[in-house]
Amino acid sequence: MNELKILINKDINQIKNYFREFKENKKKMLPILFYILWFIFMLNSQSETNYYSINYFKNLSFAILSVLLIISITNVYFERTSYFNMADVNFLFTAPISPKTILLYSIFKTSWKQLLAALFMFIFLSPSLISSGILFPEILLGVMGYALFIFSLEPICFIASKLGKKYNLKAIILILLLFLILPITIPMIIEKSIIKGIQSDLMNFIPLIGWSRGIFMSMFKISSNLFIFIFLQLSFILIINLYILKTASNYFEDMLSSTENKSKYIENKKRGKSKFKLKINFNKNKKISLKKNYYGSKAFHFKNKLISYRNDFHYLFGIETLGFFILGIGAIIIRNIKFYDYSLITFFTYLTIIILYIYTLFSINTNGQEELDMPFFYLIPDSNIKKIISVNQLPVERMILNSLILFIVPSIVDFKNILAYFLMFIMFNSIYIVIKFSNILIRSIFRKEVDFTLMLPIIKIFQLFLIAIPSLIGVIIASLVNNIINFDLQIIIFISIFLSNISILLIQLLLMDLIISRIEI
Amino acid sequence: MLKVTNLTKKYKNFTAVDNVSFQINKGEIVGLIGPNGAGKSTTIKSIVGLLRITSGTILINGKINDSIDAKKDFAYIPEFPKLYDNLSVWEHIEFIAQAYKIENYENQAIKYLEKYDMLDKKNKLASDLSKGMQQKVSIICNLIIDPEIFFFDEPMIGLDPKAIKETKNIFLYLKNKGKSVFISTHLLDSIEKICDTILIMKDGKIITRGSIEELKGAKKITLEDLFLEATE
Repeated sequence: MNELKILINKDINQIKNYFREFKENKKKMLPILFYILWFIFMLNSQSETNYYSINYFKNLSFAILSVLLIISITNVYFERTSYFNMADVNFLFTAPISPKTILLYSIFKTSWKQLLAALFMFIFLSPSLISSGILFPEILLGVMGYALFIFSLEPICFIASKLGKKYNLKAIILILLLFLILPITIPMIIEKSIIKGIQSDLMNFIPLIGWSRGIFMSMFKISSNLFIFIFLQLSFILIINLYILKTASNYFEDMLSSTENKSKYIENKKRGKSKFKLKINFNKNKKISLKKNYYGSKAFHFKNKLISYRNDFHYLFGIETLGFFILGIGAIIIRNIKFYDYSLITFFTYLTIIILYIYTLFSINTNGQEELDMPFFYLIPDSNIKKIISVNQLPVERMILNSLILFIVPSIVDFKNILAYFLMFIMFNSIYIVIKFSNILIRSIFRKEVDFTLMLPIIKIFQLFLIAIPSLIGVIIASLVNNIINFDLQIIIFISIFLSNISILLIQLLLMDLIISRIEI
Repeated sequence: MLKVTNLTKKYKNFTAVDNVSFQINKGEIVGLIGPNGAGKSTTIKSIVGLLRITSGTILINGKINDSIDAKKDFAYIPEFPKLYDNLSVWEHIEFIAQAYKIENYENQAIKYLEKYDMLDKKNKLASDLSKGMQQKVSIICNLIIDPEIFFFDEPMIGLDPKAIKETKNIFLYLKNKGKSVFISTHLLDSIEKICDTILIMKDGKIITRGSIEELKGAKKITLEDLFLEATE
């Protein structure tokens, strides 16, 4: 049988079995149904009377392509760029099938998966595009722009990953950044504005992102440069694939560790355990001496301290702290250059909401929750509530310090609002604690999920309710109180949110105690 | 059958396998034993072509190990076999049969499935199997290839006692069929009675080699004692 046919057969069988599984396990349909309903809802919510400007699509396409590029470079950095899975390593790499056939088929397969996702995106965007005067054949130009980008990106990452094994990976990443990301700033510098730079036609001449954006934007107006962009993209794809073909006989070792990393990453993601943590290992080889008087549940705090000490400047502060400091100072600087018109206190309120929103979205996989999978969490002879508190103690301490650094500068600069900043600090931390504890609560409730990634949107909506409801209650109380006593509304809101969070925390702790005592691992 | 000459594998400044040479003859069972980090897995992965060798030559039936022709002559069962989640046990067998161009494999496959108590699970998806069962599927898939030489990397890990006994029997069955078997393990008692030759590896080098009788000499010691004597 033809080598390619064997590989295609294998994948067709896998796809068939994936859908066949739904028949046997109806529960697996639930997230899919959710996605379909969500998709229909979003599609319908885009009224045909909505009109989006060309600049909107320029920004959107630029953002999508940039995010894809950054994700791909991040994967190269974390050495998990691979077209294969561990089963491929076990079965295909040692089988008498040409390595070139395996590689080309895998690149093609990966790119098509991405393309399928893109098609969904275009179906999703089609009402807005049509209402903006774009015809269906023109939408295909947009799809082509995206497709060519994907077909260039995948091989680049493969080559970067392969070269990273031979030479210095950081140098390879730097080269990628220099050639693919840095040129993006050129139109921004010429236009003296980030937004104008993104919207500038000059951006279309930047390799890859620009060329693809140029093809994408031809949906709106076919420019004379369209064929140049298509030619450049196609030539690039051709050259890079020829290079891969020429060097393809010897890639098994390069792909081995990346495939292992990717498999671990996917496995962890499925189990809801993947986490993004920039490990610096400042004190990797340093002997860390901490007082040993952490008994019972406090052992978790001791362990977290040790890990934190090893990965950061100090167990209480690290790169994150520096980030908060830069954010605080940066907000004031851009305020002074009149980049925005809000008052400082309003700006910091928005900033607080954004930070908390990001934490809610991304914190499900952070430290602490994984303890629930460890038998010793249940075996250590202490109360569950104490153990949960101890697991979360250090992250909370660190966040208190981080937020103090964030709010201290504006409180000095904007001294008349110091009380509001103080209350914002209190409110920020109370919500953070609710997020932290709700993560554990969610983990306890959804711990049997086979595929956490698939369930994540549903879980997140559930968690957002958990976090938003107390704050909502707080705001309602605040508006009621405001009718009775005439006090600063913002301050009353902060106090109310804080108080309602404290009550929800107590309920969460009691619930967790109950759930954890019934968990079977 | 297998001829490894001056095999060296380096990772930047670290030498994982250092100038290793050995040979496996037709119908011979060779055990590669050594402590963790000795270089056993690197050796086996280099032989099956998953790793690039820094220097040396590896010939399987006189063919360069990573050539397509050589791949038809060996089977590799990794330490932690991973299967395709969405393929059933039988579909794995079918896929391997296609990849290695094997015909009339069905009866043999059923026989092996029966031996490993997997016949009732032949339509189960890999994602529904335990790790031990996945290990069994990996062994079965490689058995139906029926090549000249088998490479097993820690084959007993994760198997239940019956499957361990069955795998030992399979080793002897393969030997009787004139096949060669290369087993890398640190579970000494699992191979003591079945290996014709033992290679003891430490720090990337083969420090001792010979049949168990030769290595023991006149001493009345176990393989474990022998291993500890050689590696400590």
